[in-house]
Formats: sequence, structure tokens, C-alpha cells
Amino acid sequence: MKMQTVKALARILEIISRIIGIFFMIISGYAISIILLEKFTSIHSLPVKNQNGYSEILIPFTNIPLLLGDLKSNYFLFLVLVFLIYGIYLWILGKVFKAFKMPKLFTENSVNCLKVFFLSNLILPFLFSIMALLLKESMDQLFIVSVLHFILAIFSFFIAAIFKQGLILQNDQDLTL
Amino acid sequence: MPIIINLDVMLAKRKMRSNDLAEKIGFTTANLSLLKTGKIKAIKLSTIEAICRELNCQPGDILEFRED
Repeated sequence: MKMQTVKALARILEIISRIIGIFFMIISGYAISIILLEKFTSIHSLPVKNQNGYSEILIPFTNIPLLLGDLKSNYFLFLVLVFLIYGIYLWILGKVFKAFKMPKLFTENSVNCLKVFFLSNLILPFLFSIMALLLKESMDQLFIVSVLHFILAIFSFFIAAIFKQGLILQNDQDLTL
Repeated sequence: MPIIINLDVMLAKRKMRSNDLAEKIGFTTANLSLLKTGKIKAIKLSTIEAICRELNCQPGDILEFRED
């Protein structure tokens, strides 16, 4: 497997994960602002359509629905927070892919990126569980997601350890003339 | 580090500047500086060979063991 292929793939995956991450964060920021404005202000011209017991948050300045649900329900808040958390998670993932496209693979920065990715995969299931408990949501689907994140955490832990060793060898190599 | 690299001494004896030696053996001045100040961790035999060839000396003239 050539490094050029790895770097090209890393570049593509970095761009994709960052774009989706930013998209998720924008959606969650937009939805949170709509929820707060509806709850704490009396503005009537919000891009929200209420019908048949549920609400549609519309794309700004259009009639196209973006998110569907009861704005006052815990489930909707849970969904919006999940968007925000996964937006941040995908941004972190983008940084991991970026580490693989750098000219020097084994650097302090790449080890740190992998450690942050490992921690995020470890913390995410706990975060979702706490959110589900506080917002009284079902934990059934969370179990599979938590297991997948835990497996990713283990893999990234080992890869971070490999990179740390690689960094030591790289530094020794740099100081060999 | 117990191994001392006496490159400055040999450069003075041969009346050669660091930059000139660096150019002749294909090193950057920064790397040669690392070599002179003993900040390197290992040295290749090919590097010792190149230095000895340019300075017309033996490895023992540039490498010295001194207990800490």
C-alpha cells in the first residue's frame, strides 16, 4: 500500500468528515436557537410550521422542512444534542485523518489527535447515557452505538500507542547522521 | 554523552570551515552543527567515512570516549 494512496484517501476523508461535522453543528445550532427563541420570546415569525401535533423546523427563508418533531419534547432536544455531539465528533475524526496526510506521519500532534479520538469514543457512550437518563429517553438503541464506540476506542488506543512508539523511533532517526 | 566528537579540532588542523565540510559531505550546516555539539543519537559508518575522507584523518581523530 503506497503512502500516496493513504495520503489521498486521508485528504478525501478529512474533507468529508469536516463538511458533515460542520453541517451537523450548524443544524444543531440552528435548531437550538429556534427552540430557545420559541420558549423564551414571543416572536411569531420563526421558521416553524405546526401541524397535527408536531412541528417542522424549516430551512431559513424556505418552506422546506429540516427537522421534524415536537419542539417541547425531550426527544427533540435529545436529537438536537446528538447532532451537536456528532458534529464535534466528526470534526475530531477529521483531525485524525489530517494526521495521516501530513508529510511526517509520526508527530506529537498526530499522537495527541489519536488520544483525543480515543477519549471521545470512550466519553461519548457515557454522555449519551447521561443525556438519555436526564431527558428520560429509551436506552435500547444506545447500547449498540455505545458498543461500537467502545470498540473504536480500543482500536484508537492501540493505534495511539503505535504512533507514540513510532514518534520515539522517528526522533531517534532524525538524530542519526 | 561519553562519546565526544572533536570535529572543530580537525577542522582547525585542516584549516577548513564547517560550511565547506558540510557541503562536501552533503550535510546541511544545521546537521553538522548537531554533530559538532554532540546532540545526535547515532552516526552512520558512511558519515564517518565521508568526514574522514574530506579531513584526511582516522575515526579515532574525531571520536573520543570520555567517562562522565
